[in-house]
Amino acid sequence: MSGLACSVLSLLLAGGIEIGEELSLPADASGTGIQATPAAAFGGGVYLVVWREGWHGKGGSARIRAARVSPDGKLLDRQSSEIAPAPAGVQERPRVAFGGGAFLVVWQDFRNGKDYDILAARITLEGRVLDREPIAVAAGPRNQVLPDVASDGKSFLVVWQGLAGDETAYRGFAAAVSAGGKTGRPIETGMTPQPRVAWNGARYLAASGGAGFWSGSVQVVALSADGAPQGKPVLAIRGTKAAVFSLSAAADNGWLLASHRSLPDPWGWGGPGAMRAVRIGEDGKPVNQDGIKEPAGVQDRLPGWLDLGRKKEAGATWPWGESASAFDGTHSVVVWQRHHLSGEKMTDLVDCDLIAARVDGFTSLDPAGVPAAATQAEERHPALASDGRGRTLLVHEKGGTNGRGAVVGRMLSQPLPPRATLWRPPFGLDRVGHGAESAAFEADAIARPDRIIHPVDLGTILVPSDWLILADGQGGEIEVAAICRTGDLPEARAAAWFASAAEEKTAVALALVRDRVVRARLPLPPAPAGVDRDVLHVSIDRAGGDRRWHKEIPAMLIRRPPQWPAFGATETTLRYDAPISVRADDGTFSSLSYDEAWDPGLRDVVVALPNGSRFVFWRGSSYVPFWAGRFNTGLSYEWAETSPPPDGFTDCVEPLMDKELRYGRVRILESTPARIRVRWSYQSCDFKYKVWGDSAVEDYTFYPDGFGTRVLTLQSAPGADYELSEFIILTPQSTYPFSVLPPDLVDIIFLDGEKREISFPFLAAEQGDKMKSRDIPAIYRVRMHKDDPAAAIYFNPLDTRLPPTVFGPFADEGEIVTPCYWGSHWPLARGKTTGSTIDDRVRFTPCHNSVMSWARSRPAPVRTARLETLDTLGRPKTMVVETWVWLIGTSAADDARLLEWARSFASAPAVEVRGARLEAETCVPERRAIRLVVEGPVVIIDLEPRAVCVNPVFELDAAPGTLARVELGGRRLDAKDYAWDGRTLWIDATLKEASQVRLVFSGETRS
Amino acid sequence: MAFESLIALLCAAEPGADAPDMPQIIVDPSAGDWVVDRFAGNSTAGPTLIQGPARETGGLGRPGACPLPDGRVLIPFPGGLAEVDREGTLRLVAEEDLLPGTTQQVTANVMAYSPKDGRVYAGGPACVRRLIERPDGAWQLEVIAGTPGKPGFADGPLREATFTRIDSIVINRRGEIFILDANRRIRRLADGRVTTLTSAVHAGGLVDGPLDEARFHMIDLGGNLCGGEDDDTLYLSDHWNFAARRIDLAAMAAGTAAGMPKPAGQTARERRYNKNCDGPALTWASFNSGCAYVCWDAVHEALWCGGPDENRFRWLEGGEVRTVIGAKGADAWPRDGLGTPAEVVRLTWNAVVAVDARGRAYLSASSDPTGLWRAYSRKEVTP
Repeated sequence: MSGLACSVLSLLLAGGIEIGEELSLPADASGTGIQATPAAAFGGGVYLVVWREGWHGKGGSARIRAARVSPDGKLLDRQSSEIAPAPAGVQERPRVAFGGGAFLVVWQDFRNGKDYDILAARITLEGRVLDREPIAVAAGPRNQVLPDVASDGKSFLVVWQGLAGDETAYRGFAAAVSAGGKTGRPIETGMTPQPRVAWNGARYLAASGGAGFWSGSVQVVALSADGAPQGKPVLAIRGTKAAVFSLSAAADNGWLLASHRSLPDPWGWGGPGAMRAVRIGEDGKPVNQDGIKEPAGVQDRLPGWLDLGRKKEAGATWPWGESASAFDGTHSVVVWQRHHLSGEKMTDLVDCDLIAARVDGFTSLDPAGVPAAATQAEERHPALASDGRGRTLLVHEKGGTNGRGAVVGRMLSQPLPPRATLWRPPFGLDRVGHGAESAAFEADAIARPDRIIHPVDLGTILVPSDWLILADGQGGEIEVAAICRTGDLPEARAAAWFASAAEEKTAVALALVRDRVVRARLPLPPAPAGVDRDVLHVSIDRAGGDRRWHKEIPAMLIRRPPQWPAFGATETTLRYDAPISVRADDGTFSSLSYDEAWDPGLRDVVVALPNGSRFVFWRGSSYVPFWAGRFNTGLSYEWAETSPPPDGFTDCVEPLMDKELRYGRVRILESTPARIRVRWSYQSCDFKYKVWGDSAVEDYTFYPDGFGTRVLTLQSAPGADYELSEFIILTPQSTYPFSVLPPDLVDIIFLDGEKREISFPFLAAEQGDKMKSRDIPAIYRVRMHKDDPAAAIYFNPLDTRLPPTVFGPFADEGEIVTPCYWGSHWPLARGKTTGSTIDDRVRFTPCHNSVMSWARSRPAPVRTARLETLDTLGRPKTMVVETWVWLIGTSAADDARLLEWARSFASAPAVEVRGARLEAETCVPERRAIRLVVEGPVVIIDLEPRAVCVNPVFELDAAPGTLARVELGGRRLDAKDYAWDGRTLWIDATLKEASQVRLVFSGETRS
Repeated sequence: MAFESLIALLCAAEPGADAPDMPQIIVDPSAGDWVVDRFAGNSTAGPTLIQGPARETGGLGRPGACPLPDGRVLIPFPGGLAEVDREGTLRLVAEEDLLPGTTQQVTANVMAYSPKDGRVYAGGPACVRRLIERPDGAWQLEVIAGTPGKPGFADGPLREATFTRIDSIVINRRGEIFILDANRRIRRLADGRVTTLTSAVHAGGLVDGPLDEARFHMIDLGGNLCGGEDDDTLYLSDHWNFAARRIDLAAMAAGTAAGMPKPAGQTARERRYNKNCDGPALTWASFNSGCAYVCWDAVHEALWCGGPDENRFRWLEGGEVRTVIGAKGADAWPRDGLGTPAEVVRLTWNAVVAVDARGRAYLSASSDPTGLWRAYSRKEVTP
């Protein structure tokens, strides 16, 4: 992949999962048995695969067999072992879990020829069966069937459905099995039919469903260690024909349910087919509701749908039937059956393949699905087990030509670096002469100003990276590189001129030697006066003026840059000269003038901080605020993004969709010498500006030290599920992510000092362990440009979970082409829905790069209320109001200093005051301030930091007149060491021991 | 009975076209004697195949049935073929799906027992197959006509002929096999050859008379062909004509046995069109949404028949269509019980898929795709 025109950059999510070679499980000695219904578990460094082998119908003698597989997918046992030899009968439906140092295999056994029992046996890590006589988990006189098993690591819980007495209806049961093989008392769970169970690291969850055909449902309930239900079952999936589903543990102590939706119906009944994912939260309730309620007449894919079948035509596919899921330490991996349609009405399911996807929460990271087993054979009944370190073993049935199916396996893993090439070609002029280009003449030119000025200080934002931006009076140079492959051009010259002043050229000799890249620099011609936009022409000519090459570089000439205060917020209109890229409904592209894109009354807000940081609220980003970096990139901490509302939506529901600013507003609340506060209010809307009544307000508070707070107050309907935080780096038009983003994008520094450096592209197999939480808060450092020493800082002392989602790279043609997620639908661009590829739009609009996300993992709020109030649509409604607070800033500080910041923000110092009293709400994390009411002309504040106190802030109510004097530890502070605005006092000091602050208000003699 | 005589008998009791309306449901005099047992499957078992005691099994979906003379019942279901033995234990006997494509819409007559050779025959992909019971208990399928995977409508010697989709199989005592092929043709396998009796099954229009002039209007989906009162009679559910059609093979003629094609007027009788009405077969009786299935009951000399959207089971007997099962159908009837009074049974999108030699009717339905029920008259059959 070379050259700038990367039109071949297309879908690359297949790189998200690496599919290993097929592995055959050993058949029995005769080699004639049928292998079917496999299951697998991982533990103690090995996978154990179990399956049914042999004919299980009338006259059959099917047995459960087992074989071990190494973590890298190699068969460890040349011969499989028979778990429970028996003289007669059929053994079926094995399931397996690992705990207490051994595997427990459970199955339904028809050896008496009359009805089924549930039996079990333990198998060691060496593959030896510990129970020569199977453990009788349920051996009643009537059918006891469809067992499943999970382990909490120490013992096991088996669930099944069975009949008792003369009853005609199945009941759900559970029984514990100890690591020693002792079976507990069966307890009725209410979970039937098809009970499943999974352990999430904290407790068991059971699921069941499938009794109905037209309106089958799946419900879940938590179980105690002995199988007792912990509450009433909760509906998780509705409207599933003949519910067939899978259940597994998922990230953040959750679970994932996967189930198909509807068959292709010749009459058109039932709507589209889907493979649906429903995340069950730690509380045992479904996180996404699209498994329960769908928009009427739904035809489009919902967020929780991993796959879609809609068109009944030749070549179409349809997800239906069995699925499996497993948590690989970073993501849930789901594999499901996808059929091809055939027959007169295109409703027959043929040629079943197995498709895989990684799932974040309930959303597929591989929307197209990755074919995991897609040969001409019928591949069905997937089962998964993961080592929790990015590798997952898939086992499944594979139909043979002789009608005898086999069980085969494959490893699914995150792509490993040695096998995935990074697409990181030379950028800029280094491209000339590089790679496979074979043009007779190749050249490029870059124009640079003589020094980098923060683009926001020039009144601009995200200027396309291949443009020239020049302040008034600023000079610069042009660097040219060229190669001629047809011969020498010793007399060639490079020249440059502005279009509006063509007579004022600069030029330099560029003696070209065949097949050699030659470079030259020439000064910028004088910028023309009186214009603020121009075009810089660069050419290479042969002797005599014969032009060989020419390039036009748009130039932004800044005549009167804005004058920001050293510390303050300013309403302004940031300049952006390129057109806004617009995609129409039919997929065609056009453009919109930036100057006509919004209500002319709307303004941008720039926050200028003394350390040179710039925080902007830009119309082009839908007012989503971000740190605008000196090197023309940006960093956003995200916004409040909601789960699917019950009545349907288009694309995502988040404020970036508010391109026209129908809802978003920004307002400067304060801008004083001591403090800046800017409020952004918004409603998360969908692609079509639909809103549901929830609203959010984000207050950003800054102090002269460059650190501030992000305070998000969300008013939402009870039960609404929001994502609040994600690191998103904005890059300007014409910027390939690898050209500006450093590999060490994120540092995670725990409060106890442990540091984890996360490099990108992120591969779970390499770095999955780095993203495991420690129940300790961490401060984050996010680098937004490879040349920028300052990084964005983020910290919430109530958040002990690391981001559950680290965005993997995009890949194309076997090469990794981005360090992380890349999207062109925000900022600025309009009409484009959330994408999952990198494409040529990189050249036409600024883009964003999502690094890592907390997804639906939210820290504890600092405030919560439940109100009877009005929503934004004016409807009386019960609503929940929650407030979260994060410390933010940009800084080049070292780890130790950042830890001081974090520890200071995490714990306020003890305070004693004289000449004032503490306000009822003494400490407000939202503004990182201590609140006092002044009662005399002299206020003495004794501070005792619990760890450290960095740059304390005091809000002083009723302060009398002028603050004449500020002393710290008996030393009078210079004016530069504090800031006072008549109410708020900020002090530039790091206190590590008890200290006294003395404030003297006007009236006391200066000394 | 000659075809013309039967039609005359059916029409004999007909009230006048302008007579006042009659009840929609006319309960058969024997209805009170009928009870319904859960036969195979269980409504609480779920969609996964479970073997064992037949009434404790799961995963049968909407099956068909093929009673055998020795008391066993073969059950083709989506995903395989099961057998319920005389002790009532259900076991899988083949994993091949014998309900391909649109056959699943009705599941009646998808396989048949041949009284002549004692074998069972079923369809396959573009072929007709014979089932052979192996010593180990499984059943093996052997192609006897057509070529799997080679669809067509070519007549000729069994192996050279082609079939498209075997929707129904009917076998008479002479061992002749009649095939409803892709709801397009009725074909006969006899004397080692395949011949086409009519290719107008899907032609549209309703024309009685000589078979080569008769026209039918089946749809692509569902419908079936069944045997009749003798070896020369077939019945066809002529879906879009809203009628059960009778084919007299001796006379090579087709007639209409029951149902009400779309009328032109709006008399009280004509308003019964498309409404599941009982009554005189050719005038006052009607099917709802078409005629979906037919199933001959040799014991009662009646034709079970119904539309696709019905929740009662009716038969044509003595020139009148009457309700036998489900006259007072209730949603909460005991689906998995035994001896349930037939009148409370409620199964929607239903069909009688087979009747055994003792006159017991096997019921299945899309509304409860959890197996089979068996209905019988307590006066006639000892459970």
